[in-house]
Amino acid sequence: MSVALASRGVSITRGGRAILDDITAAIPSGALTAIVGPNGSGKSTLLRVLAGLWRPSRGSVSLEGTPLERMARREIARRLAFLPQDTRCDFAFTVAELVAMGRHPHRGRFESEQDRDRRAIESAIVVCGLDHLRTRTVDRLSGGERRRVAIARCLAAEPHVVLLDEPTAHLDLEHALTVLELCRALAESGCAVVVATHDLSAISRAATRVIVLSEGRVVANGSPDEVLTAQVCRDVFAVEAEIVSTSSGQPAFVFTKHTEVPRGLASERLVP
Amino acid sequence: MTPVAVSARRAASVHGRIPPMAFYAVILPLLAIAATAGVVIGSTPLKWSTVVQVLACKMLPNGWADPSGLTRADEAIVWLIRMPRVIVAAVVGAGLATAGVVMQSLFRNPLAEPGLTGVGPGAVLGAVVVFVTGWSTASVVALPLTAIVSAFMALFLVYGIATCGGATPMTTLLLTGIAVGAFLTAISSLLLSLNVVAWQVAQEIVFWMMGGLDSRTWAHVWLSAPFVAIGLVAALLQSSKLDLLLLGEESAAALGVDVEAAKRLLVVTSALLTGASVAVAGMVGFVGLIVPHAVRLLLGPGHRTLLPATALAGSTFLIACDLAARTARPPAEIRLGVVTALCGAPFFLVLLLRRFREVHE
Repeated sequence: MSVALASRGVSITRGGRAILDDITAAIPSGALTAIVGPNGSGKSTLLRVLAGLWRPSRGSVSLEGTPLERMARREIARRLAFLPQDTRCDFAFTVAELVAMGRHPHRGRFESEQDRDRRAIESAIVVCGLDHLRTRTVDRLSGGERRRVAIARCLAAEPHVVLLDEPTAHLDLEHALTVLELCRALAESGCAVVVATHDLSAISRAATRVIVLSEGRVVANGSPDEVLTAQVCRDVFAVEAEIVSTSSGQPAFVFTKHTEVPRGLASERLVP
Repeated sequence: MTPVAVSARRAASVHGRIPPMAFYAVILPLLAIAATAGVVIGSTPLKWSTVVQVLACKMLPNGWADPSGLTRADEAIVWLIRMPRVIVAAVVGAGLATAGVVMQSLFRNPLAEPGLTGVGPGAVLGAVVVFVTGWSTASVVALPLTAIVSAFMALFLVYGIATCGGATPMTTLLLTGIAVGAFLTAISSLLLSLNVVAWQVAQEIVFWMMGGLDSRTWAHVWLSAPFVAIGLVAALLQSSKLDLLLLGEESAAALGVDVEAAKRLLVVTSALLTGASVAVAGMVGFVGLIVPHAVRLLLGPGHRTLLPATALAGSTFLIACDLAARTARPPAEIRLGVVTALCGAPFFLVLLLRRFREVHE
């Protein structure tokens, strides 16, 4: 598998605090890479740096061999799609209009929609199960439907790399599974897919590789079997985990509360 | 049927929206009627034929139209008084409405208005200084030119304060605009209160603050129209970026927009439109708020359709409001800003409630 996206020694410092510290990671094409870690571990920041939205304080990121700082914003957008956590839109665009915006990097200022654009938009709408909603305005959609529209917008760009920040947030079980299956199918089609998520059970079944972040550092990087262990859950997430095998032979996580006081909670608050 | 054909067929109707062609089929005749009425109707009654004859004599090549029967007074009323007034109203209406669209998209808030970045209060302060110093009597262009220059000075001050490390967060820009705007308004009020004894000056300032198009000449047309035209073209060229900015800065950047450069260009575009409009018409409120909102409810938020439609609707609205301002209680004129607020606020509420009920029922 070729490396689609690579970070070398990436660090980010904001307000004197290191948010990311010396992150070196390679994102391969044709694989679904999951980034997991507790809140505040730097998952979203890493995705922003990988997407070229934030410039690292140290280190560099290269997309298909070219450093991002040498690429124009539009050129990056043609090859890499990024779904941020906040995809709120208070203006009443229709589903079809929102998905069509994904073609922006491919279209010139005065260029009208071509057949290729329409096919990409149509395909993204159908793949994300939005066919029956295409003329509905965004203010009439549920949170999960809005999330699927945002994912469809990313897919309409026909990118080589897709970075999704918590794509299954706000989705019901069926649609969450559908999105993960979609990510897996995208990866199998040759795309490099990166997903930041908290859902360890789902990702242990769907992901090809897992990067575990803690306090801005990579603490584990490898296949789900190697990385998602009870020890990592204890050390990184401060929970006890029992990893059981389902009837289909897939792993499932059962979590129990850690015996120690979780990080970030002051002990006096726990005293009645 | 191919996917593309299916897509086109299904995209045909969107609940609550009307087709753009239907909008133009209504707004263009309305604009023509409003403009014609604006020239024909006034304190001195004129025949339609006289108006057409004067316009033909002035606009067609020499000898094409017959000037017989026209008096100097007819020519002066039509060509020197009412025509420039109607054109200034059209230009200012288009300018303020378009600036409103740009600001609402930049701030991702349908309640944003053109003067939010300190441009309005800056123009007011410039105008107040001109009135207080007496420069307004020196030249007809002294007031609008000073207002435009001071509007841009206020914008650069606000943008400079709100920018840190090459980035300008919109929330910081909004709050800085409000703070600087309040400060500039306080200085204007101070100058006004210090000059209340000079009743003539104080009256001019108050009237200017309430907006109005009385005594506007062709000089005002040439002072505002080029700036507004440049602003309209600049906004149209940025229409796809305006669409993407409504998704949020992060999403827009991920889709290939250089967000900081786009914001700078759009803020300057909005200031150009607002500054040129306020400079020749004073403070005319509500146009930049209600017209974009009303047109967006009818046509949707896509800027390629919204921007030209809003400009036309803004022109029509302001010509009609100005006509009402000068004919409602002759020979006195009601200030234009008062009329726009009286007409605009209830209209805005009706549209807002209609939309709210559609979403929640």
